[in-house]
Amino acid sequence: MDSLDPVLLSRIQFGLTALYHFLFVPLTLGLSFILAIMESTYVMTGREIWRDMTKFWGKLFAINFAMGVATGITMEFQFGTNWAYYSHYVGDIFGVPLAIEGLMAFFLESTFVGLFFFGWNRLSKVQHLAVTWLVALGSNLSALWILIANGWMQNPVGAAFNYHTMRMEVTSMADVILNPVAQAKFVHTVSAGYVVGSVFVLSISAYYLLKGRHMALAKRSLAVAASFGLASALSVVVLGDESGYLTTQNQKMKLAAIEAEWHTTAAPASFTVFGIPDKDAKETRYAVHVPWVLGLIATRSLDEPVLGMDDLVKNTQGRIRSGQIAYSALQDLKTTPLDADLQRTFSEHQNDLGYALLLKSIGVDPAKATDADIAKAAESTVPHVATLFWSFRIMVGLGLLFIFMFAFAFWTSATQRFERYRWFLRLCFYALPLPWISTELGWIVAETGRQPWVIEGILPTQLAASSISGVQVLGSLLGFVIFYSTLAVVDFYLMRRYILLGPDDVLAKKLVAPEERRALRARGA
Amino acid sequence: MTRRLPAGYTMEARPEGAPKAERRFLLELGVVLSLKLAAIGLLWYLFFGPTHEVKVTPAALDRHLFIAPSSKPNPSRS
Repeated sequence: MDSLDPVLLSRIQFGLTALYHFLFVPLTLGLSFILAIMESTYVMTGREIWRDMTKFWGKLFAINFAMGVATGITMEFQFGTNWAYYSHYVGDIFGVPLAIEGLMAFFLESTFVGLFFFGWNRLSKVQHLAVTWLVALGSNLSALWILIANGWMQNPVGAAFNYHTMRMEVTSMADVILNPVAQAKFVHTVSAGYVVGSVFVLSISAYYLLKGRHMALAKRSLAVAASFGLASALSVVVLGDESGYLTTQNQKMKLAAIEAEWHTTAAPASFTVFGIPDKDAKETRYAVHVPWVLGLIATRSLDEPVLGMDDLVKNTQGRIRSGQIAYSALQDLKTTPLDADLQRTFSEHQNDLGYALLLKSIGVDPAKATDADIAKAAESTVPHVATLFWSFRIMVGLGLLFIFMFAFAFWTSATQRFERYRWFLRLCFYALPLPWISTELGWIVAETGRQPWVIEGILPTQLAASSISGVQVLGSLLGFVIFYSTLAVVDFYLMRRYILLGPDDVLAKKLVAPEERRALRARGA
Repeated sequence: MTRRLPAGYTMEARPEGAPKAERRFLLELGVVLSLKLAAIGLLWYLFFGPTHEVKVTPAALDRHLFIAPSSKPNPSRS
């Protein structure tokens, strides 16, 4: 049992918890805005079917919210126990957005969710509509803060190492909040959430249309999901492009790994649509290229090359050597903190201090590292290429499928031709799990692509984990697996039950459309 | 307020069991939420409570990240 690697187990535990938590988050983000749109239509038109739609989808929103709320808090448990060095080293910066996110989620969002469910008969129409919009805004605002925290891990701006306290400290909170990576990540992630919510509504509406049930609600819901989803899916593409451009600026190795760019090629770089990355041979077999596309996306120019992983590894070796100087100066500053020469030397190289720690993460004392050690540490900055390459392509492929689905649904909705395209309704129904797969893959790209760093260029993941036993982490990991598996079963059961019950039973109200009556007659009812 | 329905649509009266269904839904959610919070509390107690807290002092962090200087001179400094 001593062979259990606590760092690997801690990573698995955090990854699984985050991925599980993110099953609920995007649906909350998307469905809350769809509820706001439906209720706004109700308030503007006075047609009660829109209120019934808001209530029905609100019930499914409630199940998702109840199942999802507090599943993220277990990640905060892990910061203190499994990632104690990380928490101590960067807690002054990371803790601020995390705390604000907690306040937003538990006070603003949860308060208005309560008012949304219990306020139908207690608030005026306009007051209740304001509450619904505040639920949507609250959930999006809490997402903003957690993404500011994550954005800082990808692009650590507005902070510096203080050798007096031996930890990272905030130098500019404005830079942390206005971090371009965090902002791009926020809009990309919430747009992806809107796509998840839209596919959810589209899929269940398609199911009702296929079954000839709740036609009035299903047609209107499909129309809302198609239009909101189309705008959101197109936004995801545009904002994802911005994220890609920023990755080129701040995380060159991540971009090179996503594109399996083993070597720097002449500008403008071509985009590899398909291929089988081979890390040992440092090549992509059976590669299918589209000329110029990667260069245009990544650099927005025709003459700037996209650096390949081999050149980036060479650059990293230089930064490790610079980091060794900072590391050595730091050792001396501990005994002579007022030495001006040492202070200047440290100041000149402190941005590379984290690169010296890469040597420690492979078990080498930075002060005694050989050229071979430096080469090995630099090579360790190449993340798992195949995981990134395929995760990214599946995510993008699914994104394009969603654009087609929403566009086609929009057209069939506008022309009232649902019955003619039953294959499309079936496609929408079976597509239900796809947006979750897509968003989870997005996080896998973002987080796997940052490895071996927990904070890009600052702190290697290997050194961020606590000095605890693997058995201890394994115990809590098993506890999480049992807990979250049970929750997943309960969530699936409740969702399926209330979807099958449908709005009539959920709302205890029967709105019968002419076509529904015809469908009932056709079934002999 | 006058209810406006699209042409051809009809609205049936609420069945008797409507409030009961609503109550049942809230009860189910309440029970699940309570059990979930209890499970999270239990997980915290078993694996993350004060007895499992990992204390990190500046000295411990220094030892972990920045070990004592080596006797070997830094290869990059003259």
